[in-house]
Amino acid sequence: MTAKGLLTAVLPASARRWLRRQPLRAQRLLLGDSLLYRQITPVDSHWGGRRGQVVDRYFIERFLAEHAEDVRGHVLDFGDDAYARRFGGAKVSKVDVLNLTADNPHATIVANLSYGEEIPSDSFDCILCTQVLLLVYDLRPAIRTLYRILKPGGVLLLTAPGIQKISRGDMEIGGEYWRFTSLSIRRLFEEVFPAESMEVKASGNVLAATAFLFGLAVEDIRRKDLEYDDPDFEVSVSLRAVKP
Amino acid sequence: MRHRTLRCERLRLRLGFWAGPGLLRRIAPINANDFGEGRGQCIDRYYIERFLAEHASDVRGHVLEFSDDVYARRFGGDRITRIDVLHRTADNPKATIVADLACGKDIPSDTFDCIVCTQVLHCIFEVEAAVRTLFRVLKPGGAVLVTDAGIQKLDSVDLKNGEECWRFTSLTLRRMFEEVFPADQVDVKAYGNALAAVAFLHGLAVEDLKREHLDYFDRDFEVSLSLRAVKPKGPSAG
Repeated sequence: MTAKGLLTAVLPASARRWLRRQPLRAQRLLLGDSLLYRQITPVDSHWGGRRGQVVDRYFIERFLAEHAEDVRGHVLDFGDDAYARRFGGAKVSKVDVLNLTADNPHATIVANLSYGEEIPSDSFDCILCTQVLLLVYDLRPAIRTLYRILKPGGVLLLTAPGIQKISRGDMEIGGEYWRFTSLSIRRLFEEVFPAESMEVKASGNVLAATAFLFGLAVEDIRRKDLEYDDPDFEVSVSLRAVKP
Repeated sequence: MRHRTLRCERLRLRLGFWAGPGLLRRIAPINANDFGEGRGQCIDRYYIERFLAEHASDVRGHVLEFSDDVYARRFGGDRITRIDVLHRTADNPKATIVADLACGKDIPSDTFDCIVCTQVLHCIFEVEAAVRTLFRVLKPGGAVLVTDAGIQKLDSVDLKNGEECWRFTSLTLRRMFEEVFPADQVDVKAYGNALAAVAFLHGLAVEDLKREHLDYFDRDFEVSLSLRAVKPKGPSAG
C-alpha cells in the first residue's frame, strides 16, 4: 500500500483536505510580511511620479524613442508639446497641441477628437497620441479623425493603457472610459488604416503592473524586469500606423 | 532630505523587509495557472457573487445566462421557471441558444425576466451593439444584472480566440447602458482597491486576503464593476 493510499484509508476526508492545503498555508505565511498584506492604498498616489519615472511612461517613452525618426515635420501632440520636442528635436518644423478644453495655455487647437471637424484634413506628418484614446467615449469617430488629419504618408504613434488605475483628474474633467488589449487596438484601427501599415505591440508583466498600481516608480524595480513582456499582462499597448 | 528617506525605503524594499519575499523582484505571477480559483475563491467572484446575492430577487421567471446556468440556479432557486443558456459557438453542450450577442438576430425580443450577464461584455468587440441586444431581449419590467472587469489580467485562450477586447470603468458601463436604458433605471457600482487589484493580478484568492481588505473600496481602483438596469414597462420604451 502506498503512503497516499494508507493516509486515505486512515484519515477522514476533512483531515485529508486540511493536509492538502498545507503547502498553500506555508506559502501564505511566507507572503505574510509582504506588500500584499500591509499596503491597501498606493505607496504614492501620484502614480509613482514623486518617487521617479512613472512605470507606464517607461513603456511609452521607449516606444517613442524606437520610432523617433517618425517624429518630424508638422507634428500634432496632445496636452503639451513635450514629446514632440523631445523625440522630434530639429526634425520638427511645427508643433500643434490639441486640447479638449480651452484652459490649457499650450493648446493651439481646442477640439473634441470625436467630432473635430475644425481640424484641417491632411495636415500632419506625425501625430503623437499617447494615453488619449482612453478618454474618448466615441472611439470610431476619433480614429477616423486621426486618419483624416494625417498627411498621406504621415505616421500615427499611439499608446493606450491595458492595466491602469483611474486617473481622477481626467475622470472629473471629460471622463475616463477604456482599457484596451492589443486585440481591440488592432481591430479598431484596422477599420480605418490598412492592416499591413500597422504595428501593434503590448508591453508589461505582473511586476510592472504591481508597481504601477501601487505607485512605485521605475527606479524602485530592476530595469531589466521591465523588459520582459508577459502576454497575460498588457500594461501598455502601442500602435504605429501609416496613412497610405 | 526627502531624497535620502526615499533611498532608504528603496533599499528596504529591495532587501524585502517591507516588501516581503520578492514581490518587487518577481516578474511571474505568484499563481500563473488561473485567476485564483485553484487557491480558493477568485477575487472578482467575491464581488460578483456579493452583487448577485444583493439582487437575487431579480433572478426570477425566464432567465438568460451565458455559458452555463450556475448563477441562475444558485441565486434564482425556486423563483425560476425557465433558464436559457447562450453561447457564441455550438460546442457548448449547456447552450440552448447559439448566437452572437452583438448581432443577436437569433434571440427573440421581449423574452427574459432577467439576464445574468457576468464577465461577458469585455469579450465582445461590438460591445454597444451587445448592450442594445440585451435591452431588446428583456421583457418590459425585466432586469439585467451585469458585472465586468476594470483591472484584470488577460485570458490567453480568449485572446487567441479574439475575445479579449476591453476593460471598463464605471463611467463606460453607465454611458453604454444609459444610451439604451432610461438613466434612472441604471445603477452602477465599483469594487476594489490597490491591494485587491494586485492580488487578483497575481492569481491570489479571497482566502489569501483579509476580508476587510477586500471590502475596502478605493474609487481609483475599480477592479470589478456591477450594473443593474431595468427595461421600463409600457410601449414608450426604446
